[in-house]
Amino acid sequence: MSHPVNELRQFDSVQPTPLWSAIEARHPGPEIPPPVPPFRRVVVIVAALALFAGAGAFAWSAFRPEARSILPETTDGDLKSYVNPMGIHITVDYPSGWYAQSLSQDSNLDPSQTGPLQVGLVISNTEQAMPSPGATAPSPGPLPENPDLPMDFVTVTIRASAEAIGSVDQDSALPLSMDDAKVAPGPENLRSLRAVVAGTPIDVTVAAGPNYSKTDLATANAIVASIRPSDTASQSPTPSPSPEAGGQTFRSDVGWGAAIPAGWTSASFSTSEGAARAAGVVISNDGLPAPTLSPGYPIQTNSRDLPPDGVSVVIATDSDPGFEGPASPGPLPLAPFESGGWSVGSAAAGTPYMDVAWFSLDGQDFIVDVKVGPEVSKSTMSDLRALISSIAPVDQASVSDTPDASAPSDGMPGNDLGVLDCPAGEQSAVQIYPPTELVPRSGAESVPEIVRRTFLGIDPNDEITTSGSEGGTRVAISRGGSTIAHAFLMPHLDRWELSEFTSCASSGIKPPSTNG
Amino acid sequence: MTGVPTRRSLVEEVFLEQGDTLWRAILAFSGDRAVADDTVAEAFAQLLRRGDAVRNPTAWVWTAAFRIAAEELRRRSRASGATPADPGYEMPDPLPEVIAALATLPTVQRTVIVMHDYADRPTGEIAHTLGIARSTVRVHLSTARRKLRALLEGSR
Repeated sequence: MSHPVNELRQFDSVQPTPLWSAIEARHPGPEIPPPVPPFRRVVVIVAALALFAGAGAFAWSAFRPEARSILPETTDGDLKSYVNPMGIHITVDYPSGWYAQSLSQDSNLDPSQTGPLQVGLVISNTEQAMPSPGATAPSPGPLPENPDLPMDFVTVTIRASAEAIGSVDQDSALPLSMDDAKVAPGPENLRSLRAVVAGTPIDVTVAAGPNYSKTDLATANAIVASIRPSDTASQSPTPSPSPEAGGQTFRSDVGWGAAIPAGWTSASFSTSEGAARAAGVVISNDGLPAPTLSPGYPIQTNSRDLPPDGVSVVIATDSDPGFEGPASPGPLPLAPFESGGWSVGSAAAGTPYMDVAWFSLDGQDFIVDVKVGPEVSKSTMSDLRALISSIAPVDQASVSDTPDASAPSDGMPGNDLGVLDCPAGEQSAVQIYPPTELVPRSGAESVPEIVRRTFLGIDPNDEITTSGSEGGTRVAISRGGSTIAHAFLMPHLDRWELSEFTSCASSGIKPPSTNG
Repeated sequence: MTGVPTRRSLVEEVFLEQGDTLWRAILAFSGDRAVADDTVAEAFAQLLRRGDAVRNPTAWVWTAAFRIAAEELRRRSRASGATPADPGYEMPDPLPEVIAALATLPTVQRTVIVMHDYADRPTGEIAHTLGIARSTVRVHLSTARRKLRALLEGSR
């Protein structure tokens, strides 16, 4: 059997359809609009600004934020509010018939490059402008190239550098007005405005298709005018690193510990859905059930399970090919809750919101996923911040080194590689992204020999066996008759790729951390 | 204007350079010659329409084409409830086998393996097309290769 690349090369033998004439037939009109004479351009811009100003003033009279209370209602008549998009502490109003989604993408639009992370919000009269058209759950992502945008689309985009959120002291005067925007060149009607709101420098753009309606454009201007700082009244208690009186301590078997506030509970879980797997612990003030794993989204407590005054904290491994955290999460301790180190979620007022952070410990990445109900008290928020700040490696944690008998500590279950002969709670599993390449020293080096040479902690007497598995080889490592580790290797060209590994913690066996 | 390439000639240049490979890649992705024809024509037509707004025409047209094709397949699937890949034309044996195997892969894995292993597109571009991280592209690639190999082995 040849490599799939060779199989795909068979397509080279297919003769494509000649298409250039069809392309030209589809492309209407002149290839580039002729340049507008300078005087005419000025007239056009002045006229456009006058139109925008008039329309904006009209729409502003209907949309201005001080005219009504935004929180805690989700909607106000035909309006909705988007609160704290991607951690920018702003609130934006938009018509209920429009679409809104969080934005997260590299700042450099050249797909072969990577720039600083840009976050924000997209609001449009067409769903096709959304990062995830058709999504039923918040799914921040990069803007689409939008090849299918209708000709009358109108889109408002608010962007900020993720690193610059809350970095500036002086805000711009509100309301913002697209009358102050610059007109950008290009085939689309594009205007952009720079401002500072809630301490965050933002770029606001309004783009419109060639057949846009004046009403929609005025609405876009009104959306921009509604941008304002979010209510921050519920924030700011000082975190406490120690468990309060009556609190519990939790010490996981994978190296982290936490101080659980009095009255809160913790429960271990493991779950999988398709190729996605997660295992860890859910800590909450309400004895919540195990969180929900939906491929493409971070592991999280189902919002339907969360009471209005409920908080859940999920700390887990989350291996999901469709959802990727940061490439290199930092070590513990975590940044203070909802500070710059968190991907602060957004939600319509009156619904739970979700904040996410990641950390790396002993070569394994963990997600910390916090869901907060809409009616959480200040004292609960204080407990939450204390809990977050207490998460630490067990050797340095502000928690007891001795596990609390009331706190579950049954560790992490195995993955698809199966259950090992570990003492209770000792088995841990990891998906390796990207797979570690294992190169045979010679064509004759067998998989057991490669594993023995490259893996860490294997005793000379350990037995290494292999068996065929779907698309690869499954490796079992045994010691004294007990199976203490499994690994999955895929053949790739002249080498192997290690993509999954599970072991007993006491075995000391670890996969190679670098290609070998 | 002499000496200055027009937008049309620049796009035509991209088409001459990339068109055939893109068409074959979309054929591999969709399993349908008509989808490949329509997708590639529409992607390049849109590239022409967008003029100078597109900074990297090659990357743009690849991304646009795969998104157009994916949407078309979704539309067909919704309309008929059937999966694609019923190539109604004659292809050199064993190409139908490869198309059938590709058609069983999830869209993301199919996109990744075709763009990477057949069309040799950079990982960053594939990640951009799919809106996922580059590391995730590699994971999908490994999985897709494993599945494709197993599928083709099983069919022979």
